[in-house]
Amino acid sequence: MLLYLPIAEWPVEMFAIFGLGAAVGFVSGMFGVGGGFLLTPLLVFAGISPAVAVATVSAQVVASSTSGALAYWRRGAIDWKLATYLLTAGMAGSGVGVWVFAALRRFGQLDLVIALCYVVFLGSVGAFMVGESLRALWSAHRGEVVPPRRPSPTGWLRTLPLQVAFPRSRLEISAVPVIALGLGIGFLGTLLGIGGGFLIVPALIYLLRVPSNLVVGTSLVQMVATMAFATFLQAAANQTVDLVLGLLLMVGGVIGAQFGAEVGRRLRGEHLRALLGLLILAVGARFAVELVVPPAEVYTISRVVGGAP
Amino acid sequence: MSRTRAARALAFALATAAPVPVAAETLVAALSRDRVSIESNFTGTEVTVFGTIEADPNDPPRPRGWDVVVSLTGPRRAVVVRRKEPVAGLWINRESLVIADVPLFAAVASTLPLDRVTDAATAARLGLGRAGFAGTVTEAADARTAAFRLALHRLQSSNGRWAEQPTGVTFLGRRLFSATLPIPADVPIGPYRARVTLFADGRPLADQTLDLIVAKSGFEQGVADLATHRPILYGLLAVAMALVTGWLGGVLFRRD
Repeated sequence: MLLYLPIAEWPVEMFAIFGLGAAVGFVSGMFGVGGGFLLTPLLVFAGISPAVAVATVSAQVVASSTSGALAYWRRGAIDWKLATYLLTAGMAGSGVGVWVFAALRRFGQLDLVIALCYVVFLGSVGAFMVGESLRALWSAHRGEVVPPRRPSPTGWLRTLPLQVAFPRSRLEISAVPVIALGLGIGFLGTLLGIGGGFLIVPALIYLLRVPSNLVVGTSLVQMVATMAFATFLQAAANQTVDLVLGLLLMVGGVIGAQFGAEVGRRLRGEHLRALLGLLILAVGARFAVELVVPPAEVYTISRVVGGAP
Repeated sequence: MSRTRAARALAFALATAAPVPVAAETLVAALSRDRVSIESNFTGTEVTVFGTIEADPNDPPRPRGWDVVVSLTGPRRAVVVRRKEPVAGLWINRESLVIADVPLFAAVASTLPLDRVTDAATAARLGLGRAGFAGTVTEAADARTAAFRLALHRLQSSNGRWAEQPTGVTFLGRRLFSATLPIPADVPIGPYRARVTLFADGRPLADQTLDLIVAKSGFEQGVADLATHRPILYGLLAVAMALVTGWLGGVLFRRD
Protein backbone atom coordinates (compact mmCIF):
# COMPACT_ATOMS: atom_id res chain seq x y z
CA MET A 1 0.00 0.00 0.00
CA LEU A 2 1.56 3.24 -1.12
CA LEU A 3 1.58 6.08 1.35
CA TYR A 4 2.42 9.68 0.50
CA LEU A 5 4.80 11.23 3.01
CA PRO A 6 3.80 14.83 3.81
CA ILE A 7 7.29 16.27 4.41
CA ALA A 8 9.43 14.01 2.24
CA GLU A 9 6.88 14.65 -0.57
CA TRP A 10 7.48 11.16 -1.83
CA PRO A 11 5.20 8.09 -1.89
CA VAL A 12 6.58 4.99 -0.22
CA GLU A 13 5.41 1.43 0.10
CA MET A 14 4.06 1.52 3.64
CA PHE A 15 4.83 -2.08 4.53
CA ALA A 16 8.32 -1.87 3.04
CA ILE A 17 9.17 1.07 5.30
CA PHE A 18 7.56 -0.67 8.25
CA GLY A 19 9.61 -3.78 7.43
CA LEU A 20 12.75 -1.69 7.07
CA GLY A 21 12.12 -0.26 10.53
CA ALA A 22 11.52 -3.75 11.92
CA ALA A 23 14.67 -5.18 10.30
CA VAL A 24 16.85 -2.37 11.60
CA GLY A 25 15.07 -2.64 14.96
CA PHE A 26 15.95 -6.34 15.01
CA VAL A 27 19.62 -5.51 14.45
CA SER A 28 19.54 -2.77 17.05
CA GLY A 29 17.85 -4.99 19.62
CA MET A 30 20.30 -7.80 18.93
CA PHE A 31 23.42 -5.67 19.33
CA GLY A 32 22.10 -3.00 21.67
CA VAL A 33 22.76 -0.16 19.24
CA GLY A 34 20.41 2.44 17.80
CA GLY A 35 20.71 1.28 14.20
CA GLY A 36 20.73 4.79 12.74
CA PHE A 37 23.92 4.02 10.82
CA LEU A 38 21.92 1.40 8.87
CA LEU A 39 18.59 3.18 8.67
CA THR A 40 19.71 6.54 7.28
CA PRO A 41 21.58 5.09 4.27
CA LEU A 42 18.73 2.67 3.56
CA LEU A 43 16.17 5.48 3.54
CA VAL A 44 18.29 7.55 1.18
CA PHE A 45 18.55 4.49 -1.02
CA ALA A 46 14.72 4.24 -0.95
CA GLY A 47 14.45 7.72 -2.44
CA ILE A 48 14.04 9.89 0.66
CA SER A 49 16.16 13.03 0.50
CA PRO A 50 19.20 12.90 2.82
CA ALA A 51 17.94 15.96 4.70
CA VAL A 52 14.62 14.29 5.59
CA ALA A 53 16.24 10.90 6.22
CA VAL A 54 18.80 12.25 8.68
CA ALA A 55 16.29 14.38 10.58
CA THR A 56 13.62 11.68 10.74
CA VAL A 57 16.02 8.96 11.84
CA SER A 58 17.06 11.14 14.78
CA ALA A 59 13.42 10.93 15.95
CA GLN A 60 13.47 7.18 15.38
CA VAL A 61 16.65 6.85 17.46
CA VAL A 62 14.86 8.63 20.33
CA ALA A 63 12.06 6.07 20.21
CA SER A 64 14.33 3.05 19.94
CA SER A 65 16.60 4.26 22.77
CA THR A 66 13.81 5.26 25.15
CA SER A 67 12.55 1.80 26.05
CA GLY A 68 16.12 0.61 26.59
CA ALA A 69 16.99 3.64 28.71
CA LEU A 70 13.89 3.09 30.87
CA ALA A 71 14.78 -0.58 31.37
CA TYR A 72 18.30 0.34 32.53
CA TRP A 73 16.85 3.05 34.74
CA ARG A 74 14.62 0.52 36.51
CA ARG A 75 17.70 -1.59 37.15
CA GLY A 76 19.59 1.47 38.36
CA ALA A 77 22.31 0.86 35.79
CA ILE A 78 22.86 4.50 34.83
CA ASP A 79 25.53 6.95 35.98
CA TRP A 80 23.36 10.06 35.99
CA LYS A 81 26.18 12.48 36.69
CA LEU A 82 28.24 11.17 33.81
CA ALA A 83 25.14 11.11 31.58
CA THR A 84 24.38 14.75 32.45
CA TYR A 85 27.89 15.84 31.46
CA LEU A 86 27.68 13.85 28.22
CA LEU A 87 24.21 15.00 27.18
CA THR A 88 24.81 18.66 27.97
CA ALA A 89 27.86 18.60 25.73
CA GLY A 90 25.92 16.44 23.27
CA MET A 91 23.20 19.07 22.88
CA ALA A 92 25.79 21.75 22.18
CA GLY A 93 27.41 19.46 19.59
CA SER A 94 24.01 18.78 18.09
CA GLY A 95 23.36 22.51 17.66
CA VAL A 96 26.63 22.87 15.76
CA GLY A 97 25.72 19.77 13.75
CA VAL A 98 22.39 21.22 12.54
CA TRP A 99 24.15 24.39 11.47
CA VAL A 100 26.97 22.59 9.65
CA PHE A 101 24.40 20.30 8.03
CA ALA A 102 22.52 23.26 6.52
CA ALA A 103 25.76 24.94 5.40
CA LEU A 104 27.07 21.79 3.69
CA ARG A 105 23.74 21.34 1.93
CA ARG A 106 24.00 24.85 0.53
CA PHE A 107 27.46 24.18 -0.82
CA GLY A 108 26.48 20.82 -2.31
CA GLN A 109 29.03 18.91 -0.24
CA LEU A 110 26.66 17.29 2.26
CA ASP A 111 26.66 13.90 0.53
CA LEU A 112 30.44 13.89 0.31
CA VAL A 113 30.98 14.75 3.97
CA ILE A 114 28.37 12.21 5.10
CA ALA A 115 30.00 9.51 2.95
CA LEU A 116 33.51 10.37 4.17
CA CYS A 117 32.39 10.34 7.81
CA TYR A 118 30.72 6.98 7.32
CA VAL A 119 33.87 5.57 5.73
CA VAL A 120 36.20 6.94 8.40
CA PHE A 121 34.14 6.29 11.53
CA LEU A 122 32.38 3.09 10.55
CA GLY A 123 35.55 1.76 8.96
CA SER A 124 37.75 2.37 11.99
CA VAL A 125 35.20 1.36 14.65
CA GLY A 126 34.17 -1.72 12.65
CA ALA A 127 37.79 -2.79 12.15
CA PHE A 128 38.54 -2.23 15.82
CA MET A 129 35.52 -4.27 16.95
CA VAL A 130 36.26 -7.13 14.59
CA GLY A 131 39.91 -7.19 15.62
CA GLU A 132 39.15 -6.99 19.32
CA SER A 133 36.52 -9.73 19.26
CA LEU A 134 38.67 -12.00 17.10
CA ARG A 135 41.51 -11.64 19.60
CA ALA A 136 39.11 -12.49 22.42
CA LEU A 137 37.78 -15.49 20.51
CA TRP A 138 41.31 -16.67 19.72
CA SER A 139 42.37 -16.40 23.34
CA ALA A 140 39.27 -18.27 24.48
CA HIS A 141 39.97 -20.93 21.89
CA ARG A 142 43.49 -21.40 23.27
CA GLY A 143 42.09 -21.57 26.77
CA GLU A 144 43.79 -18.37 27.94
CA VAL A 145 42.11 -16.19 30.49
CA VAL A 146 41.66 -12.68 29.13
CA PRO A 147 42.97 -10.30 31.75
CA PRO A 148 40.19 -8.01 32.93
CA ARG A 149 41.08 -4.56 31.66
CA ARG A 150 40.10 -1.23 33.10
CA PRO A 151 41.15 -0.94 36.73
CA SER A 152 41.59 2.80 36.31
CA PRO A 153 41.91 5.32 33.51
CA THR A 154 45.52 5.60 32.59
CA GLY A 155 48.05 8.29 31.93
CA TRP A 156 46.99 11.43 30.23
CA LEU A 157 43.37 11.39 31.43
CA ARG A 158 44.65 11.99 34.95
CA THR A 159 46.90 14.87 33.97
CA LEU A 160 44.19 17.00 32.33
CA PRO A 161 42.60 19.84 34.31
CA LEU A 162 39.02 19.94 35.67
CA GLN A 163 39.15 16.68 37.56
CA VAL A 164 35.64 15.54 38.42
CA ALA A 165 34.52 12.61 40.54
CA PHE A 166 31.85 10.29 39.13
CA PRO A 167 31.08 8.25 42.26
CA ARG A 168 28.59 5.90 40.61
CA SER A 169 31.26 4.77 38.14
CA ARG A 170 33.97 4.99 40.83
CA LEU A 171 35.93 7.27 38.52
CA GLU A 172 37.87 10.44 39.11
CA ILE A 173 38.77 11.85 35.72
CA SER A 174 39.06 15.13 33.91
CA ALA A 175 35.82 16.57 32.55
CA VAL A 176 37.64 17.52 29.33
CA PRO A 177 37.51 14.13 27.58
CA VAL A 178 33.92 13.60 28.79
CA ILE A 179 32.77 16.90 27.33
CA ALA A 180 34.78 16.37 24.14
CA LEU A 181 33.17 12.97 23.73
CA GLY A 182 29.67 14.37 24.26
CA LEU A 183 30.30 17.20 21.82
CA GLY A 184 31.73 14.89 19.19
CA ILE A 185 28.91 12.34 19.40
CA GLY A 186 26.24 15.05 19.38
CA PHE A 187 27.82 16.69 16.35
CA LEU A 188 28.34 13.49 14.37
CA GLY A 189 24.98 12.05 15.36
CA THR A 190 23.14 15.10 14.09
CA LEU A 191 25.21 15.38 10.93
CA LEU A 192 25.00 11.70 10.01
CA GLY A 193 21.56 10.79 11.33
CA ILE A 194 22.86 8.22 13.78
CA GLY A 195 22.54 7.85 17.52
CA GLY A 196 26.23 7.19 17.81
CA GLY A 197 25.89 4.21 20.16
CA PHE A 198 28.56 2.33 18.24
CA LEU A 199 30.93 5.26 18.88
CA ILE A 200 30.10 6.12 22.48
CA VAL A 201 29.94 2.60 23.90
CA PRO A 202 33.55 1.71 22.94
CA ALA A 203 34.69 5.16 24.03
CA LEU A 204 33.14 4.75 27.47
CA ILE A 205 34.61 1.28 27.83
CA TYR A 206 38.11 1.74 26.46
CA LEU A 207 38.75 5.46 26.91
CA LEU A 208 36.99 6.48 30.11
CA ARG A 209 37.00 2.96 31.61
CA VAL A 210 33.39 3.20 32.79
CA PRO A 211 32.25 -0.07 34.47
CA SER A 212 30.59 -2.25 31.84
CA ASN A 213 27.30 -2.58 33.77
CA LEU A 214 26.80 1.19 33.53
CA VAL A 215 28.03 1.77 29.96
CA VAL A 216 24.94 0.88 27.95
CA GLY A 217 22.38 2.57 30.23
CA THR A 218 24.40 5.76 30.45
CA SER A 219 25.00 5.92 26.71
CA LEU A 220 21.26 5.32 26.07
CA VAL A 221 20.31 8.27 28.29
CA GLN A 222 22.83 10.41 26.45
CA MET A 223 21.41 9.29 23.07
CA VAL A 224 17.77 9.91 24.03
CA ALA A 225 18.52 13.44 25.19
CA THR A 226 20.91 14.41 22.39
CA MET A 227 18.79 12.96 19.59
CA ALA A 228 15.59 14.46 21.05
CA PHE A 229 17.32 17.82 20.95
CA ALA A 230 18.56 17.13 17.40
CA THR A 231 15.02 16.18 16.30
CA PHE A 232 13.64 19.38 17.75
CA LEU A 233 16.33 21.52 16.09
CA GLN A 234 15.93 19.81 12.70
CA ALA A 235 12.17 20.34 12.87
CA ALA A 236 12.40 23.92 14.07
CA ALA A 237 15.24 25.09 11.82
CA ASN A 238 14.98 22.96 8.67
CA GLN A 239 11.44 21.51 8.75
CA THR A 240 12.81 18.18 7.66
CA VAL A 241 11.29 15.78 10.21
CA ASP A 242 8.60 13.63 8.59
CA LEU A 243 6.24 12.48 11.34
CA VAL A 244 4.49 9.89 9.18
CA LEU A 245 7.76 8.30 8.06
CA GLY A 246 9.05 8.55 11.62
CA LEU A 247 6.02 6.82 13.12
CA LEU A 248 6.26 3.93 10.63
CA LEU A 249 9.94 3.44 11.44
CA MET A 250 9.42 3.75 15.19
CA VAL A 251 6.61 1.20 15.40
CA GLY A 252 8.48 -1.22 13.15
CA GLY A 253 11.68 -0.61 15.07
CA VAL A 254 10.20 -1.11 18.53
CA ILE A 255 8.65 -4.42 17.48
CA GLY A 256 11.75 -5.63 15.63
CA ALA A 257 13.96 -4.77 18.58
CA GLN A 258 12.12 -7.24 20.83
CA PHE A 259 12.91 -10.17 18.56
CA GLY A 260 16.45 -8.95 18.05
CA ALA A 261 17.03 -8.75 21.77
CA GLU A 262 15.79 -12.32 22.11
CA VAL A 263 18.33 -13.57 19.55
CA GLY A 264 21.04 -11.38 21.06
CA ARG A 265 20.62 -13.03 24.46
CA ARG A 266 21.44 -16.43 22.94
CA LEU A 267 24.72 -15.32 21.37
CA ARG A 268 28.08 -14.93 23.06
CA GLY A 269 29.41 -11.43 23.58
CA GLU A 270 32.48 -11.94 21.36
CA HIS A 271 30.36 -13.36 18.56
CA LEU A 272 27.95 -10.44 18.83
CA ARG A 273 30.75 -7.90 18.72
CA ALA A 274 32.36 -9.61 15.74
CA LEU A 275 29.05 -9.66 13.85
CA LEU A 276 28.28 -6.04 14.66
CA GLY A 277 31.81 -5.07 13.66
CA LEU A 278 31.38 -6.83 10.31
CA LEU A 279 28.03 -5.09 9.75
CA ILE A 280 29.54 -1.68 10.53
CA LEU A 281 32.49 -2.42 8.24
CA ALA A 282 30.11 -3.43 5.44
CA VAL A 283 28.17 -0.15 5.64
CA GLY A 284 31.44 1.80 5.67
CA ALA A 285 32.68 -0.17 2.65
CA ARG A 286 29.44 0.52 0.80
CA PHE A 287 30.08 4.26 1.16
CA ALA A 288 33.72 3.85 0.16
CA VAL A 289 32.66 2.10 -3.04
CA GLU A 290 30.25 4.93 -3.84
CA LEU A 291 33.05 7.47 -3.46
CA VAL A 292 35.58 5.56 -5.53
CA VAL A 293 33.62 3.93 -8.36
CA PRO A 294 32.95 6.28 -11.30
CA PRO A 295 29.23 7.17 -11.17
CA ALA A 296 27.00 6.41 -14.16
CA GLU A 297 25.79 10.01 -14.11
CA VAL A 298 28.25 12.63 -12.96
CA TYR A 299 25.64 15.39 -12.85
CA THR A 300 23.09 15.92 -10.12
CA ILE A 301 20.38 18.53 -9.72
CA SER A 302 18.91 20.02 -6.60
CA ARG A 303 16.81 23.02 -5.81
CA VAL A 304 18.61 26.09 -4.57
CA VAL A 305 17.88 25.95 -0.86
CA GLY A 306 17.49 28.89 1.42
CA GLY A 307 15.98 27.24 4.47
CA ALA A 308 13.45 24.54 3.73
CA PRO A 309 14.03 22.05 0.91
CA MET B 1 -20.92 58.42 -40.68
CA SER B 2 -19.95 58.10 -44.27
CA ARG B 3 -16.28 58.31 -43.28
CA THR B 4 -16.78 55.30 -40.97
CA ARG B 5 -18.51 53.36 -43.69
CA ALA B 6 -15.71 54.15 -46.08
CA ALA B 7 -13.14 53.03 -43.55
CA ARG B 8 -14.99 49.77 -43.07
CA ALA B 9 -15.17 49.19 -46.78
CA LEU B 10 -11.46 49.86 -47.04
CA ALA B 11 -10.68 47.50 -44.19
CA PHE B 12 -12.80 44.80 -45.80
CA ALA B 13 -11.10 45.29 -49.12
CA LEU B 14 -7.69 45.08 -47.48
CA ALA B 15 -8.63 42.01 -45.52
CA THR B 16 -9.95 40.09 -48.47
CA ALA B 17 -7.04 41.13 -50.62
CA ALA B 18 -4.43 40.17 -48.03
CA PRO B 19 -2.10 37.49 -49.42
CA VAL B 20 -1.75 35.76 -46.00
CA PRO B 21 -4.95 34.15 -44.79
CA VAL B 22 -6.16 35.83 -41.63
CA ALA B 23 -6.48 33.44 -38.72
CA ALA B 24 -10.07 33.40 -37.64
CA GLU B 25 -10.24 30.18 -35.66
CA THR B 26 -10.61 30.38 -31.95
CA LEU B 27 -10.05 27.81 -29.24
CA VAL B 28 -12.27 26.76 -26.39
CA ALA B 29 -10.49 24.46 -23.97
CA ALA B 30 -10.95 23.23 -20.43
CA LEU B 31 -9.15 21.04 -17.90
CA SER B 32 -10.77 17.96 -16.43
CA ARG B 33 -9.99 19.44 -12.99
CA ASP B 34 -8.56 22.66 -11.65
CA ARG B 35 -7.04 21.13 -8.54
CA VAL B 36 -4.91 18.08 -7.85
CA SER B 37 -5.24 17.21 -4.17
CA ILE B 38 -2.43 15.24 -2.64
CA GLU B 39 -3.63 13.04 0.19
CA SER B 40 -2.00 10.10 1.88
CA ASN B 41 -3.11 7.70 -0.87
CA PHE B 42 -1.77 9.88 -3.70
CA THR B 43 0.25 7.84 -6.17
CA GLY B 44 0.12 10.13 -9.16
CA THR B 45 -2.77 10.95 -11.42
CA GLU B 46 -3.68 12.45 -14.79
CA VAL B 47 -5.12 15.67 -16.02
CA THR B 48 -7.08 15.77 -19.26
CA VAL B 49 -7.36 18.82 -21.46
CA PHE B 50 -10.43 18.98 -23.70
CA GLY B 51 -10.92 21.53 -26.40
CA THR B 52 -12.69 22.42 -29.56
CA ILE B 53 -11.73 24.57 -32.51
CA GLU B 54 -14.33 27.16 -33.41
CA ALA B 55 -14.23 28.00 -37.08
CA ASP B 56 -16.85 29.12 -39.56
CA PRO B 57 -17.19 28.46 -43.27
CA ASN B 58 -15.76 31.87 -44.18
CA ASP B 59 -12.40 30.98 -42.59
CA PRO B 60 -9.56 30.15 -44.91
CA PRO B 61 -9.43 26.45 -45.72
CA ARG B 62 -6.89 24.29 -43.84
CA PRO B 63 -6.15 21.55 -46.32
CA ARG B 64 -3.55 20.03 -43.96
CA GLY B 65 -5.81 20.32 -40.94
CA TRP B 66 -4.94 21.72 -37.54
CA ASP B 67 -2.29 20.84 -35.03
CA VAL B 68 -2.68 21.31 -31.29
CA VAL B 69 0.06 21.57 -28.69
CA VAL B 70 -0.80 21.28 -25.00
CA SER B 71 1.82 22.13 -22.41
CA LEU B 72 1.58 21.92 -18.65
CA THR B 73 4.22 23.71 -16.60
CA GLY B 74 4.69 23.64 -12.86
CA PRO B 75 6.25 26.08 -10.43
CA ARG B 76 9.55 27.59 -11.52
CA ARG B 77 12.59 27.65 -9.27
CA ALA B 78 16.29 28.15 -9.51
CA VAL B 79 18.08 24.80 -9.53
CA VAL B 80 21.72 24.02 -9.14
CA VAL B 81 23.35 21.45 -11.39
CA ARG B 82 26.53 19.92 -10.03
CA ARG B 83 29.19 17.83 -11.71
CA LYS B 84 31.29 15.21 -9.99
CA GLU B 85 34.93 14.91 -10.87
CA PRO B 86 37.57 12.53 -9.61
CA VAL B 87 39.84 14.16 -7.05
CA ALA B 88 42.57 11.98 -5.60
CA GLY B 89 40.54 8.91 -6.51
CA LEU B 90 37.27 10.19 -5.00
CA TRP B 91 34.28 11.38 -6.98
CA ILE B 92 33.47 14.80 -5.62
CA ASN B 93 31.09 17.59 -6.68
CA ARG B 94 33.32 20.24 -8.17
CA GLU B 95 31.76 22.59 -10.67
CA SER B 96 28.20 23.77 -10.42
CA LEU B 97 25.87 26.02 -12.36
CA VAL B 98 22.77 27.72 -11.04
CA ILE B 99 20.05 27.81 -13.67
CA ALA B 100 17.26 30.25 -12.86
CA ASP B 101 13.58 29.91 -13.62
CA VAL B 102 13.48 26.19 -14.31
CA PRO B 103 10.03 24.57 -14.33
CA LEU B 104 10.16 21.77 -11.77
CA PHE B 105 7.60 19.96 -13.86
CA ALA B 106 6.76 20.27 -17.55
CA ALA B 107 4.77 18.06 -19.88
CA VAL B 108 4.06 18.69 -23.53
CA ALA B 109 1.64 16.79 -25.72
CA SER B 110 1.02 17.46 -29.38
CA THR B 111 -0.76 16.00 -32.40
CA LEU B 112 2.55 15.45 -34.18
CA PRO B 113 6.15 15.57 -32.99
CA LEU B 114 6.81 19.19 -32.18
CA ASP B 115 9.38 19.68 -34.94
CA ARG B 116 6.73 18.72 -37.47
CA VAL B 117 4.14 21.09 -35.99
CA THR B 118 6.26 24.19 -36.22
CA ASP B 119 9.84 25.35 -36.54
CA ALA B 120 12.23 25.47 -33.61
CA ALA B 121 12.30 29.25 -33.37
CA THR B 122 8.52 29.52 -33.06
CA ALA B 123 8.41 26.69 -30.50
CA ALA B 124 11.11 28.38 -28.45
CA ARG B 125 9.37 31.77 -28.67
CA LEU B 126 6.16 30.23 -27.36
CA GLY B 127 8.04 28.31 -24.68
CA LEU B 128 6.99 24.91 -25.98
CA GLY B 129 8.90 21.68 -25.80
CA ARG B 130 12.40 21.02 -24.61
CA ALA B 131 13.69 24.41 -25.57
CA GLY B 132 10.96 26.03 -23.52
CA PHE B 133 11.41 23.82 -20.47
CA ALA B 134 14.47 25.60 -19.19
CA GLY B 135 13.08 29.10 -19.50
CA THR B 136 14.98 31.53 -21.62
CA VAL B 137 16.82 29.74 -24.37
CA THR B 138 20.36 30.94 -24.42
CA GLU B 139 22.44 30.28 -27.44
CA ALA B 140 24.78 28.09 -25.43
CA ALA B 141 27.28 30.74 -24.42
CA ASP B 142 30.06 28.23 -24.01
CA ALA B 143 30.60 24.50 -24.02
CA ARG B 144 30.48 24.30 -20.22
CA THR B 145 27.07 25.96 -19.91
CA ALA B 146 25.76 23.84 -22.75
CA ALA B 147 26.92 20.67 -21.00
CA PHE B 148 25.18 21.65 -17.75
CA ARG B 149 21.96 22.54 -19.56
CA LEU B 150 22.07 19.27 -21.44
CA ALA B 151 22.53 17.43 -18.14
CA LEU B 152 19.51 19.25 -16.71
CA HIS B 153 17.40 18.10 -19.65
CA ARG B 154 18.67 14.55 -19.36
CA LEU B 155 18.07 14.31 -15.60
CA GLN B 156 14.65 15.95 -15.67
CA SER B 157 13.55 13.69 -18.50
CA SER B 158 14.89 10.52 -16.91
CA ASN B 159 13.16 11.18 -13.59
CA GLY B 160 9.85 11.90 -15.32
CA ARG B 161 9.71 15.56 -14.41
CA TRP B 162 9.87 16.67 -18.01
CA ALA B 163 7.76 14.60 -20.35
CA GLU B 164 7.02 14.82 -24.04
CA GLN B 165 4.15 13.04 -25.73
CA PRO B 166 4.68 13.60 -29.44
CA THR B 167 1.27 12.17 -30.31
CA GLY B 168 -0.47 12.82 -27.03
CA VAL B 169 -3.17 15.07 -28.47
CA THR B 170 -5.87 13.13 -30.27
CA PHE B 171 -8.72 14.46 -32.34
CA LEU B 172 -12.01 12.95 -31.28
CA GLY B 173 -13.83 14.55 -34.18
CA ARG B 174 -12.85 17.06 -36.79
CA ARG B 175 -12.68 19.88 -34.24
CA LEU B 176 -12.80 18.21 -30.85
CA PHE B 177 -9.53 17.17 -29.28
CA SER B 178 -8.21 15.92 -25.97
CA ALA B 179 -4.86 15.23 -24.31
CA THR B 180 -4.14 13.36 -21.12
CA LEU B 181 -1.06 14.50 -19.24
CA PRO B 182 0.56 12.45 -16.47
CA ILE B 183 0.99 13.86 -12.98
CA PRO B 184 3.68 11.71 -11.32
CA ALA B 185 3.57 10.73 -7.65
CA ASP B 186 6.46 13.02 -6.73
CA VAL B 187 4.94 16.01 -8.51
CA PRO B 188 6.16 19.35 -7.14
CA ILE B 189 3.57 21.31 -5.15
CA GLY B 190 2.43 24.69 -6.47
CA PRO B 191 0.61 26.54 -9.21
CA TYR B 192 0.52 25.00 -12.67
CA ARG B 193 -0.43 26.49 -15.98
CA ALA B 194 -1.70 24.59 -18.99
CA ARG B 195 -1.39 26.23 -22.35
CA VAL B 196 -3.23 25.07 -25.45
CA THR B 197 -1.94 26.37 -28.78
CA LEU B 198 -3.59 25.87 -32.15
CA PHE B 199 -1.39 25.63 -35.24
CA ALA B 200 -2.05 25.39 -38.93
CA ASP B 201 0.65 25.19 -41.54
CA GLY B 202 3.31 25.73 -38.87
CA ARG B 203 1.87 29.04 -37.65
CA PRO B 204 0.22 29.63 -34.29
CA LEU B 205 -3.38 30.75 -34.73
CA ALA B 206 -4.78 30.93 -31.23
CA ASP B 207 -3.97 29.94 -27.71
CA GLN B 208 -5.56 29.67 -24.31
CA THR B 209 -4.14 29.25 -20.82
CA LEU B 210 -5.76 27.34 -17.99
CA ASP B 211 -4.73 27.25 -14.34
CA LEU B 212 -4.27 24.21 -12.16
CA ILE B 213 -3.28 23.98 -8.52
CA VAL B 214 -1.34 21.03 -7.12
CA ALA B 215 -1.66 21.08 -3.34
CA LYS B 216 -1.60 18.79 -0.37
CA SER B 217 -4.94 18.41 1.33
CA GLY B 218 -6.48 16.87 4.41
CA PHE B 219 -4.05 15.20 6.79
CA GLU B 220 -1.04 15.73 4.52
CA GLN B 221 -1.72 19.45 4.39
CA GLY B 222 -2.26 19.59 8.13
CA VAL B 223 1.10 17.98 8.83
CA ALA B 224 2.94 20.10 6.26
CA ASP B 225 1.29 23.31 7.49
CA LEU B 226 2.19 22.53 11.07
CA ALA B 227 5.79 21.80 10.09
CA THR B 228 6.10 25.06 8.14
CA HIS B 229 4.06 27.49 10.19
CA ARG B 230 4.47 26.13 13.72
CA PRO B 231 7.95 24.56 13.56
CA ILE B 232 8.55 24.81 17.33
CA LEU B 233 5.29 23.04 18.12
CA TYR B 234 5.97 20.48 15.38
CA GLY B 235 9.42 19.79 16.81
CA LEU B 236 8.04 19.30 20.32
CA LEU B 237 5.34 17.03 18.90
CA ALA B 238 7.95 14.94 17.05
CA VAL B 239 10.00 14.50 20.24
CA ALA B 240 6.89 13.67 22.30
CA MET B 241 5.77 11.12 19.72
CA ALA B 242 9.19 9.45 19.75
CA LEU B 243 9.34 9.32 23.56
CA VAL B 244 5.80 7.96 23.87
CA THR B 245 6.34 5.34 21.16
CA GLY B 246 9.55 4.19 22.80
CA TRP B 247 7.97 4.12 26.25
CA LEU B 248 4.90 2.21 24.96
CA GLY B 249 7.16 -0.30 23.27
CA GLY B 250 9.00 -0.83 26.53
CA VAL B 251 5.74 -1.30 28.46
CA LEU B 252 4.13 -3.63 25.93
CA PHE B 253 7.15 -5.87 25.54
CA ARG B 254 8.45 -5.63 29.08
CA ARG B 255 10.22 -8.79 30.11
CA ASP B 256 12.09 -7.96 33.26
